[in-house]
Amino acid sequence: MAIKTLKSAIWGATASILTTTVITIWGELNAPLKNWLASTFTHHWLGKSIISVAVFFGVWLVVHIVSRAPKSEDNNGVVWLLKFLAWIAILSATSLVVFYLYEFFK
Amino acid sequence: MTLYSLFIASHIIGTILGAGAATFAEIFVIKALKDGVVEPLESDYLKTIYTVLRVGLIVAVISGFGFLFLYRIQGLEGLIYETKLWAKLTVVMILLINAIMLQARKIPLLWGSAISFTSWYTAVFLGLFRGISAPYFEILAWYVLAIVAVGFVLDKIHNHFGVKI
Amino acid sequence: MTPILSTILLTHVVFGILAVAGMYSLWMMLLKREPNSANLKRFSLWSLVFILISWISGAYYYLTYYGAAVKPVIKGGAYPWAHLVVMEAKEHIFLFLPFLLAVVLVAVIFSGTKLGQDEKLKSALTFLVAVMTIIGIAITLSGLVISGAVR
Repeated sequence: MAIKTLKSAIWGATASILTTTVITIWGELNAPLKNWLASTFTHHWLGKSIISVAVFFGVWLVVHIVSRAPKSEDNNGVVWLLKFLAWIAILSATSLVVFYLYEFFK
Repeated sequence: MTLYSLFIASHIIGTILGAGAATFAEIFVIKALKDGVVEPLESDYLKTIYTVLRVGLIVAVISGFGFLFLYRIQGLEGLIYETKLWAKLTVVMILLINAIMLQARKIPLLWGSAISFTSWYTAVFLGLFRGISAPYFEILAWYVLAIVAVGFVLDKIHNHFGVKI
Repeated sequence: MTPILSTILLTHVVFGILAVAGMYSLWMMLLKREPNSANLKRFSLWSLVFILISWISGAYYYLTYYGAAVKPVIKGGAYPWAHLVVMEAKEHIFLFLPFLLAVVLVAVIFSGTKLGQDEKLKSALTFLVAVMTIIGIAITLSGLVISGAVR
């Protein structure tokens, strides 16, 4: 149960970070998306904040419900997922910085 | 008491605690390692000193950012881009990285101690001498030279007291 | 800036720094041979609370003041990249931190004292906390760069 909860939380965080990154870059390249965020949530960034929270909890819950309990309390899956999440954070942060640098210099 | 006075007082106190603790950490490490073994009481004293050092660091950092906040709301934003400030921030970053390296045992104790000690006193020096207008890289060059000098002096002191690391 | 907005901005800065200090402390704790599980839980919980306070206060300042009063000044000044690159990156990367902290909190709650015995688990969690701390420090320094460009 503990491992299942933790793994689901990691998937939730992964999905939230990826969603924020994709929506941000896509929104800058696609005005209607950014406008939709602004009109629906009063500000695009507020929309991204709310969506990031919703995705985190939503994915955590769904993964927790649909995944089977692990056969043992072996941590190998958790170890891999923690490193995976760390790399997702690194790559997403880098993508955003590189994207905005590219937009500035183009 | 104004916010400015509060930040000044906190920053000075934080720096005193941090630099003082860094100084006593060196003294107590030498005392503890003279026989090559850190006794439980010596370890306890060192833990206390490091706690004081961390408290000093957090107080100095928060009050330091407090000044920068005051610059922002008082229309003195130009001061935020001063080279001396960014040199001080770089020194603080090196201090933090050094602490991690020491904790992870990725740096020899001698050089870790030299970096820690020099970093604290560099921060004190940069805070005391407000008229410093040297370029960023010049300040850092002097800082690196100071680390090397302190490293050699510490090595001599360790040898004199027979410190076994 | 009104006194209330100044207070809110100061709240954002102070609680942000406290959260990052918490993350750094977690990193240091995880480097020990036997991390103290009670302290890990305490620090991750408080770091999460602090980052949430920083998020809410920052959001208020950003949504009610920054866009109309600060952004145009930066974009029209000598350092437009401070908004166009630094602020844009910062305001989005910040959104990673609460969820990274939430995962760390769940991990330390559920791993209990296992961290002392399971070197791979400890190493993986340390890596995540290190990444999170470095992002937090970068965001803090970004805030300085942005503030300094408001002229």
